[in-house]
Amino acid sequence: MTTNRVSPRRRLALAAAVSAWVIGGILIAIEFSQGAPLPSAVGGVVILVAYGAILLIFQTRSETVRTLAGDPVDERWSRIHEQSLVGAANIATVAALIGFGFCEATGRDNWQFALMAVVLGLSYMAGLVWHRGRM
Amino acid sequence: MQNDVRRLREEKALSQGDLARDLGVSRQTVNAIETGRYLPSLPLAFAIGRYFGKRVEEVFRDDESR
Repeated sequence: MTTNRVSPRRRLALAAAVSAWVIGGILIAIEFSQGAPLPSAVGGVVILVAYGAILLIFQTRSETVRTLAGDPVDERWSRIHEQSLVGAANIATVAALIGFGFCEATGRDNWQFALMAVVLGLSYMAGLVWHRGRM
Repeated sequence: MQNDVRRLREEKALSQGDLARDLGVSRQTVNAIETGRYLPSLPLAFAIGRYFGKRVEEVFRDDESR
Protein backbone atom coordinates (compact mmCIF):
# COMPACT_ATOMS: atom_id res chain seq x y z
CA MET A 1 0.00 0.00 0.00
CA THR A 2 1.37 3.41 -0.87
CA THR A 3 0.88 6.49 1.21
CA ASN A 4 0.83 9.98 -0.19
CA ARG A 5 2.20 11.99 2.73
CA VAL A 6 2.79 15.71 2.52
CA SER A 7 6.36 16.63 3.50
CA PRO A 8 6.79 18.85 6.60
CA ARG A 9 8.26 21.58 4.41
CA ARG A 10 5.31 21.46 2.04
CA ARG A 11 2.93 21.42 5.00
CA LEU A 12 4.44 24.62 6.43
CA ALA A 13 4.11 26.44 3.10
CA LEU A 14 0.58 25.10 2.74
CA ALA A 15 -0.30 26.34 6.25
CA ALA A 16 1.10 29.81 5.47
CA ALA A 17 -0.74 29.92 2.14
CA VAL A 18 -4.02 28.72 3.63
CA SER A 19 -3.67 31.31 6.42
CA ALA A 20 -3.26 34.05 3.81
CA TRP A 21 -6.28 32.77 1.91
CA VAL A 22 -8.42 32.53 5.06
CA ILE A 23 -7.48 36.09 6.04
CA GLY A 24 -8.31 37.14 2.49
CA GLY A 25 -11.68 35.38 2.73
CA ILE A 26 -12.48 37.09 6.04
CA LEU A 27 -11.49 40.47 4.57
CA ILE A 28 -13.71 40.05 1.51
CA ALA A 29 -16.63 38.94 3.73
CA ILE A 30 -16.20 42.06 5.89
CA GLU A 31 -15.95 44.31 2.85
CA PHE A 32 -19.12 42.83 1.31
CA SER A 33 -21.03 43.01 4.60
CA GLN A 34 -20.23 46.72 4.68
CA GLY A 35 -21.51 47.16 1.14
CA ALA A 36 -18.15 47.80 -0.50
CA PRO A 37 -18.09 47.68 -4.32
CA LEU A 38 -16.74 44.48 -5.86
CA PRO A 39 -13.41 45.86 -7.18
CA SER A 40 -12.61 47.36 -3.79
CA ALA A 41 -13.47 44.15 -1.94
CA VAL A 42 -11.55 41.91 -4.33
CA GLY A 43 -8.48 44.17 -4.56
CA GLY A 44 -7.09 43.42 -1.12
CA VAL A 45 -7.90 39.74 -1.36
CA VAL A 46 -6.02 39.32 -4.63
CA ILE A 47 -2.78 40.33 -2.89
CA LEU A 48 -3.23 37.75 -0.14
CA VAL A 49 -4.23 35.00 -2.57
CA ALA A 50 -1.23 35.80 -4.77
CA TYR A 51 1.04 35.78 -1.68
CA GLY A 52 -0.22 32.32 -0.70
CA ALA A 53 0.21 31.04 -4.26
CA ILE A 54 3.79 32.37 -4.44
CA LEU A 55 4.63 30.57 -1.17
CA LEU A 56 3.34 27.29 -2.54
CA ILE A 57 4.82 27.54 -6.02
CA PHE A 58 8.26 28.93 -5.25
CA GLN A 59 9.08 27.53 -1.79
CA THR A 60 11.12 24.69 -3.29
CA ARG A 61 13.02 27.00 -5.65
CA SER A 62 13.78 30.04 -3.53
CA GLU A 63 15.37 30.13 -0.09
CA THR A 64 13.81 33.53 0.51
CA VAL A 65 10.30 32.23 -0.21
CA ARG A 66 10.96 29.16 1.92
CA THR A 67 11.88 31.44 4.82
CA LEU A 68 8.74 33.50 4.22
CA ALA A 69 6.80 30.24 4.50
CA GLY A 70 8.30 29.71 7.96
CA ASP A 71 10.94 27.14 7.04
CA PRO A 72 14.44 28.69 6.98
CA VAL A 73 16.90 26.53 5.02
CA ASP A 74 19.69 26.63 7.60
CA GLU A 75 21.04 28.54 10.60
CA ARG A 76 22.11 31.54 8.50
CA TRP A 77 18.61 31.87 7.10
CA SER A 78 17.20 31.47 10.64
CA ARG A 79 19.34 34.42 11.72
CA ILE A 80 18.25 36.43 8.68
CA HIS A 81 14.66 35.59 9.61
CA GLU A 82 15.17 36.68 13.24
CA GLN A 83 16.90 39.93 12.32
CA SER A 84 14.15 40.74 9.83
CA LEU A 85 11.56 40.11 12.54
CA VAL A 86 13.44 42.41 14.93
CA GLY A 87 13.56 45.14 12.27
CA ALA A 88 9.86 44.74 11.51
CA ALA A 89 8.98 44.87 15.23
CA ASN A 90 11.05 48.03 15.71
CA ILE A 91 9.37 49.73 12.75
CA ALA A 92 5.93 48.61 13.94
CA THR A 93 6.66 50.05 17.41
CA VAL A 94 7.81 53.39 16.00
CA ALA A 95 4.78 53.46 13.67
CA ALA A 96 2.46 52.79 16.62
CA LEU A 97 4.05 55.57 18.68
CA ILE A 98 3.99 58.07 15.81
CA GLY A 99 0.39 57.14 15.00
CA PHE A 100 -0.57 57.52 18.65
CA GLY A 101 1.11 60.93 18.87
CA PHE A 102 -0.40 62.13 15.61
CA CYS A 103 -3.92 61.11 16.63
CA GLU A 104 -3.43 62.64 20.08
CA ALA A 105 -2.27 65.92 18.52
CA THR A 106 -5.12 66.07 16.01
CA GLY A 107 -7.83 65.00 18.45
CA ARG A 108 -8.58 61.70 16.70
CA ASP A 109 -9.39 58.35 18.23
CA ASN A 110 -6.06 56.67 19.02
CA TRP A 111 -6.92 53.55 21.01
CA GLN A 112 -5.84 51.24 18.14
CA PHE A 113 -2.33 52.68 18.19
CA ALA A 114 -2.21 52.53 21.98
CA LEU A 115 -3.33 48.90 21.93
CA MET A 116 -0.72 48.05 19.30
CA ALA A 117 2.06 49.69 21.32
CA VAL A 118 0.93 47.93 24.51
CA VAL A 119 0.83 44.53 22.76
CA LEU A 120 4.30 45.07 21.27
CA GLY A 121 5.76 46.25 24.57
CA LEU A 122 4.19 43.51 26.69
CA SER A 123 5.09 40.75 24.23
CA TYR A 124 8.70 42.00 24.21
CA MET A 125 8.85 41.95 28.01
CA ALA A 126 7.25 38.51 28.09
CA GLY A 127 9.87 37.38 25.59
CA LEU A 128 12.69 38.66 27.80
CA VAL A 129 11.35 36.80 30.83
CA TRP A 130 10.70 33.61 28.80
CA HIS A 131 14.07 33.46 27.05
CA ARG A 132 16.36 34.63 29.86
CA GLY A 133 15.87 31.36 31.70
CA ARG A 134 16.41 29.29 28.59
CA MET A 135 19.63 30.71 27.18
CA MET B 1 37.51 36.32 12.52
CA GLN B 2 39.24 34.64 9.59
CA ASN B 3 38.90 31.10 8.28
CA ASP B 4 40.49 28.62 5.89
CA VAL B 5 37.26 27.07 4.65
CA ARG B 6 37.82 28.14 1.04
CA ARG B 7 41.40 26.84 0.98
CA LEU B 8 40.44 23.53 2.60
CA ARG B 9 37.50 23.10 0.24
CA GLU B 10 39.64 23.82 -2.82
CA GLU B 11 42.29 21.37 -1.60
CA LYS B 12 39.62 18.69 -1.65
CA ALA B 13 38.48 19.88 -5.10
CA LEU B 14 34.97 20.45 -3.82
CA SER B 15 32.52 23.01 -5.08
CA GLN B 16 30.63 25.23 -2.65
CA GLY B 17 27.53 23.25 -3.56
CA ASP B 18 29.23 19.95 -2.67
CA LEU B 19 30.33 21.24 0.71
CA ALA B 20 26.92 22.82 1.35
CA ARG B 21 25.15 19.53 0.61
CA ASP B 22 27.47 17.57 2.90
CA LEU B 23 27.07 20.07 5.73
CA GLY B 24 23.30 20.43 5.26
CA VAL B 25 23.35 24.16 4.57
CA SER B 26 22.77 26.29 1.49
CA ARG B 27 25.50 27.12 -1.04
CA GLN B 28 25.05 30.81 -0.20
CA THR B 29 25.78 30.04 3.44
CA VAL B 30 29.07 28.35 2.53
CA ASN B 31 29.93 31.38 0.41
CA ALA B 32 29.02 33.74 3.26
CA ILE B 33 31.24 31.78 5.67
CA GLU B 34 34.17 31.73 3.24
CA THR B 35 33.98 35.47 2.65
CA GLY B 36 33.59 36.22 6.37
CA ARG B 37 30.12 37.74 6.02
CA TYR B 38 28.63 35.09 8.29
CA LEU B 39 30.06 33.56 11.45
CA PRO B 40 28.74 30.01 11.85
CA SER B 41 27.32 28.71 15.10
CA LEU B 42 29.55 26.50 17.25
CA PRO B 43 27.84 23.27 16.11
CA LEU B 44 28.34 24.21 12.45
CA ALA B 45 31.93 25.33 13.09
CA PHE B 46 32.65 21.97 14.73
CA ALA B 47 30.96 20.17 11.83
CA ILE B 48 33.17 22.06 9.37
CA GLY B 49 36.26 21.19 11.39
CA ARG B 50 35.28 17.51 11.56
CA TYR B 51 34.54 17.48 7.84
CA PHE B 52 38.09 18.58 7.01
CA GLY B 53 39.70 16.53 9.79
CA LYS B 54 40.81 19.67 11.64
CA ARG B 55 40.17 21.24 15.00
CA VAL B 56 37.91 24.30 15.04
CA GLU B 57 40.80 26.64 15.88
CA GLU B 58 42.72 25.28 12.89
CA VAL B 59 39.90 26.36 10.59
CA PHE B 60 38.71 29.55 12.30
CA ARG B 61 41.11 32.12 13.72
CA ASP B 62 40.35 35.05 15.96
CA ASP B 63 42.06 38.17 14.57
CA GLU B 64 43.12 39.26 18.06
CA SER B 65 44.86 35.98 18.87
CA ARG B 66 47.51 36.46 16.18
